[in-house]
Amino acid sequence: MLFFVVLAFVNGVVNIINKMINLQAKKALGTANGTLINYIEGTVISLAIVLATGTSHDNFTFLAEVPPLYFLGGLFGLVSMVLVLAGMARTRISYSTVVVLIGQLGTGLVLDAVLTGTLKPLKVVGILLVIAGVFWDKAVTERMVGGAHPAA
Amino acid sequence: MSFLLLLLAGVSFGFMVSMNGQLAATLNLYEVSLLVHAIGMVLLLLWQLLHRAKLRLRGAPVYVYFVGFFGVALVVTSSFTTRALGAAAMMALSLSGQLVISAVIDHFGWFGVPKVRFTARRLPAYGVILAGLLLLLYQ
Repeated sequence: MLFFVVLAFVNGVVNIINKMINLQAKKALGTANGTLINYIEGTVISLAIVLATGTSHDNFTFLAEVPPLYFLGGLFGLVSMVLVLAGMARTRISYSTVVVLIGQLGTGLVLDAVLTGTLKPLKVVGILLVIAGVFWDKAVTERMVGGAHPAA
Repeated sequence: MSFLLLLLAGVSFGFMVSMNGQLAATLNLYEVSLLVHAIGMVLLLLWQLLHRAKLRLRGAPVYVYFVGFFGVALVVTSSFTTRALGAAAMMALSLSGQLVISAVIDHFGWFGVPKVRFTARRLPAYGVILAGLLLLLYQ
């Protein structure tokens, strides 16, 4: 149990380190070439695992059964990556992280509400609290650094 | 400006998570990862081709070339921990990890970012953020 608790925490740490590495790749090679490294390696490693562990289907014809709309996930992932790197390069990492989470969790909330037709009011309170916390932290840190560092 | 970019990045990520969730009905986790990465790769290559941009992959710091392993490690650990702990607890812990490491990177100025020290005065704001996240995940 403790192992998985630590692993889930580490997952979050790796998530941000991964973004920082992509940011360094972007700085060295530009956005397109930099993020391409991430995507090429992700493709090759995932393919290797799929081949090693066996696919859930006999061959790749199952791809024809997937509704085309769901392939947009790849596009949304790429758009997200490009935008997050553009935003992160201009502001504090802690600020970037929470603003991305607001967008992500807010979207999840809205999609859930649309798909299930119900919206839990306390979840809305939750996201409002996160937003309030972000701006509070921003105000505190800006006072600390005297506005010397652009926070947004 | 960066607020809007980052918010849209999160919105886009939220859509990706939702569509990947749909894909997971027919595909296993690694197949979803393969598909998402392969589509991103093809789109980036097309973009390079359309803009007649020069393909250049060498010249970044050495650790950059391990980035793919981090990406796949994310997929694998998300899967294992979600199965063991449940989605809400996994997300709560993972988001806590994100908040802590982000503050640590800012505090020490790792990866060449400007240093922003973490002081006790920032703790109440972080408490509010954490409370909001827990409400979101456990409601």
